[in-house]
Amino acid sequence: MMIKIRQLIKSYRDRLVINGLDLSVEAGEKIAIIGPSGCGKSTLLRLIMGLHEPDNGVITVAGATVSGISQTDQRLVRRHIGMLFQSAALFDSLSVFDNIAFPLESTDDSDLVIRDRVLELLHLVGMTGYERAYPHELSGGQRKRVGLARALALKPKIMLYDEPTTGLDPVLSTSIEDLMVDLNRQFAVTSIVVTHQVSTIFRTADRIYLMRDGQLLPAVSPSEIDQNEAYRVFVRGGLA
Amino acid sequence: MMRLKSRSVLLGRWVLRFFAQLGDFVLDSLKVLRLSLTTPIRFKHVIEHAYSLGAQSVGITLITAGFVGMAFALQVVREFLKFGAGKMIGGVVGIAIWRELGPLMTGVVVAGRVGAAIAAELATMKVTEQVEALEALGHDPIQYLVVPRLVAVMIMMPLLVGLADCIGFLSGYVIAVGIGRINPFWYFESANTMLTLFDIMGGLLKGSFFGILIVLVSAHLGLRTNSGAKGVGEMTTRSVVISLVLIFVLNYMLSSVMF
Repeated sequence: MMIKIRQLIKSYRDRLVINGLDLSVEAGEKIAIIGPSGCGKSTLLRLIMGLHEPDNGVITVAGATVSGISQTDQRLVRRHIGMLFQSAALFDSLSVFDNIAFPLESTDDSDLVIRDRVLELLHLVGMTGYERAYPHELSGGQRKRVGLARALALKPKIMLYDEPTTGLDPVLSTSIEDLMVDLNRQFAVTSIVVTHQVSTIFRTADRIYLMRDGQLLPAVSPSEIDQNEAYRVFVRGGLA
Repeated sequence: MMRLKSRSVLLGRWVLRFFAQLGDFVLDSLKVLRLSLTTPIRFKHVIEHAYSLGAQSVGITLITAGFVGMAFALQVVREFLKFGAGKMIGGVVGIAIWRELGPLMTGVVVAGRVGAAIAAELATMKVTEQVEALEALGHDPIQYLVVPRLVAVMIMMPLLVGLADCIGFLSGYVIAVGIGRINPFWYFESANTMLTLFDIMGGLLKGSFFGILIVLVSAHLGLRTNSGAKGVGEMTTRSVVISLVLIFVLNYMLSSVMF
């Protein structure tokens, strides 16, 4: 089991965001989590990444517990996980090259190896030639591509995508989805996509979960959405 | 009765929130200081910040110190000449500048320029998820973002204060000699007699304390920003206001202990 979550609880001040959530994701599986804005989808990704501490419950990633461990152990667990943030979260003060090289600087690789890896990743996400550009010079879609390259730099086993296509026009959304499908196929990573873009759900996930009241409803496959009332209303009714 | 009760509840909540925020600030500050002493310093980042936060503040610090020195000397010259105490002007200006005005003015300038820059930059990084990305990529944001700034400001503040002291004192000289017609020899001689090495070093030390305070306050508030562009603006303003107030309080405390 690549990701295992049991009885997860998380609240902010008085608001209970995640309420006894359970989830198991097998290696190589691709799941999507949908739900209305503010229901706790992004919080769940941050909990898996170890960026937030849960109030209760256990999260294990590739066999290692994520919460309540030392910073050094947390760093080791995070090496297995790549995350594409909603805003891409590129470092403003660094060029595209330095952004992608950033995670590689903590490895023992030589400058030459890092350079080759960065150029390879840029090629992979279709951004060859942009290595000297700065984030403010890129479009939203280009920033997401660079963010994706940075997330893949350490060859993670798990990819977490937080609203990867939100805010992009349909053409750019499709290109990012193509990229995600392609990367998932090439590297056989386990992936969790949090989104409310219908096309993204259909194209990038084998299983779909609807998040409601801090818990996940039983999963359905993309072809089963119309047979399940709750999923159908959410996806077709556009309640996001 | 009900109104009194609800006011008591509001006051209680305010007090609790105040102490919770104070506790967070103390914990963050202790972490910054601990990491500054126990983790390797990224000297490349320290140099970059020393340039942007320190070297680029030289101009505004010198202009401010120059005019404060001139204004102070103008008042001293007028009053002291009435009592025939012109020979003491250099010493009085020197003590005021080195002990109080130099460090305080530099602290105010740095709080406005550097404190605001740190708070705004970190707050922007926070709301654009860059701080989380840093964590996700295995770096402690305090160690990566705050410690180099703290070290840079600790290095640059005494230098800025020293420059401000010199310019403030020399500006006083221009006024004392140009307007007060004081003998230049007596200006420097009285300063030489009345000023001690401890006055000079104490002023520089004050500058370091102010620098540490500015970085701790602005970094703490910047990294606690949550709500978009509005939050960035609010935290930046708050960091400058709180830094200024704390600088004046700390200045009084340090002066009463040191001099």
